[in-house]
Amino acid sequence: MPLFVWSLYATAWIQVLATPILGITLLLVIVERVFGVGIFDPAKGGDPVLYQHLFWIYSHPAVYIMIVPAMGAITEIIPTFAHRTIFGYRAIAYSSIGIAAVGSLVWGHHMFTSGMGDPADVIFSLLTFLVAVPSSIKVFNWTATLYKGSIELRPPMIFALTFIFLFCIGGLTGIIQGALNVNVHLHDTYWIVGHFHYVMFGGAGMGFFAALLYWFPKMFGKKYNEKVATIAWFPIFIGFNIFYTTMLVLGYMGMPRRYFTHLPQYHTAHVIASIGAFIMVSGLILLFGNLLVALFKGERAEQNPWGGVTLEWQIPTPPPLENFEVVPTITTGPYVFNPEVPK
Amino acid sequence: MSSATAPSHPVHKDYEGSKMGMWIFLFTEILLFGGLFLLYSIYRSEYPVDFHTGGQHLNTFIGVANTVILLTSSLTVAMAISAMQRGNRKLSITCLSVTIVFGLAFLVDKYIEWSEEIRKGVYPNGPALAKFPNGEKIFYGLYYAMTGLHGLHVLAGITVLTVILVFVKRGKITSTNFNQLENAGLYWHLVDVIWIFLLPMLYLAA
Repeated sequence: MPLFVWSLYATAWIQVLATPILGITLLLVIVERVFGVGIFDPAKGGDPVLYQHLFWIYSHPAVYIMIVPAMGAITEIIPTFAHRTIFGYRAIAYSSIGIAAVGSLVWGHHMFTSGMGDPADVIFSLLTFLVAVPSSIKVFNWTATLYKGSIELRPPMIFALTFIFLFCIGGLTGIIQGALNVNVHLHDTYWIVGHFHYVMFGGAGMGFFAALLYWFPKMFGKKYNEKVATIAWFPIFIGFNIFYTTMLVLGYMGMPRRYFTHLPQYHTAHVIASIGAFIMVSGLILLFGNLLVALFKGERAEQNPWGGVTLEWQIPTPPPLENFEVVPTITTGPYVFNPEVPK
Repeated sequence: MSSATAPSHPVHKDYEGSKMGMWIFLFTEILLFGGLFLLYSIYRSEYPVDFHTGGQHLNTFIGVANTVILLTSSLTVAMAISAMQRGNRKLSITCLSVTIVFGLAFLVDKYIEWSEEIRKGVYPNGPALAKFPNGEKIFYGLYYAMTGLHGLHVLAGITVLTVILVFVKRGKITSTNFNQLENAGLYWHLVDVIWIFLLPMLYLAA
């Protein structure tokens, strides 16, 4: 089974387990505000920290709902462009499940300064460190897949490699703020904003771009201009890092989140970050403009433009109704390149 | 059926898939109420005395009567399924109708109970509730939230069972194709099971 399917399976579990909690939390906020039912309001004996708990029980796993499918897409793209079978198939599959399981138990790291108590703080901090383990298993396996592969730097691969680089920065900054004492300083600062953009935009976002560039020809049956997509990568990558690295620094200097203005000592850094943002957005416009042009004026894409070996590349482009006339018989694993060469 | 009217594509029936989907949905419903159970246990450990007095004020008679009504309706919906499996359409229709009537009776009881509380001024932002200690305000907050959400589920269950009843009457559900009836029955059992938890938590808390 392709590892993308494994990642979607893990994501489905998080969705089933976590989303109802958001449902009941929002319902309770509505009945409290509209009908005045006492649930969280301290004037009626309620506890607002309980609201925070219920909110984050869903909203932390929600970031895994975004990143785990992106990780699955990266796992498909890397073997195709390294022309090499995936390293550590089982480890990648199990780490998806591991992220889903441990990731559902770390919501308290959003609440270290809420006063929920030392034992809870310590346990949530430990679990937060633990959730980094399955994520790094994936990163090591991707890197090991690249080792001695014949790497082809075409647009999906460029964005997949960008994913690994930016996700590593996002993950490592996450470890830093998962430590209790450091978190007291970093909580609700631009550091946090920088961190989650590295994981969510650098991770989930770049994974989405990589997946879009990879499956675009299959989905729409149109070729896009690979040269333009590659050129668009430069402003995106450079602008991204100027933008969010500056945010990390600003936060470390003490710039708080959610303020519409700032003190004079933060001015220069804000200007630098804004310049980075404009560079990045210009790249994004180029990337999506290129795809839009391809959608309307692109040449017909062939069946298998990247030399992929998974099932979707073995059927015509775009896929016919019901994909397969008969259920295909699978005789090898999903990532076998050169099946005639014995291992 | 003559070959001229036969569908060109084979009809895909996925009995197991629809069963599993229903169970996953019921699972999310339990988690939805799970949020309320979580709040209840935390607040009860914070205000044990107030929850005790709050429970004393509730009308235990109506609470228990409603439990009997719902348990019996679970029996009748199970009978409706069994009857359909054995091809007894008439009995199935009777059992389904009885289930719907029981559901409506539950809601009537709930109406009597809530209007009595409201008449006494015990409702959110009401004059009597405002004088209660904080723990009892939370108890009544949870009481209205839990029985209210459960009441909505009873209403939804009655709607689903009514639609199923129409399907049975029109012959869309038969002794070989009763999947929808079974899933509706499962939903009705869930409504019943949640009520079995609400009864001791609220009415028997004293």
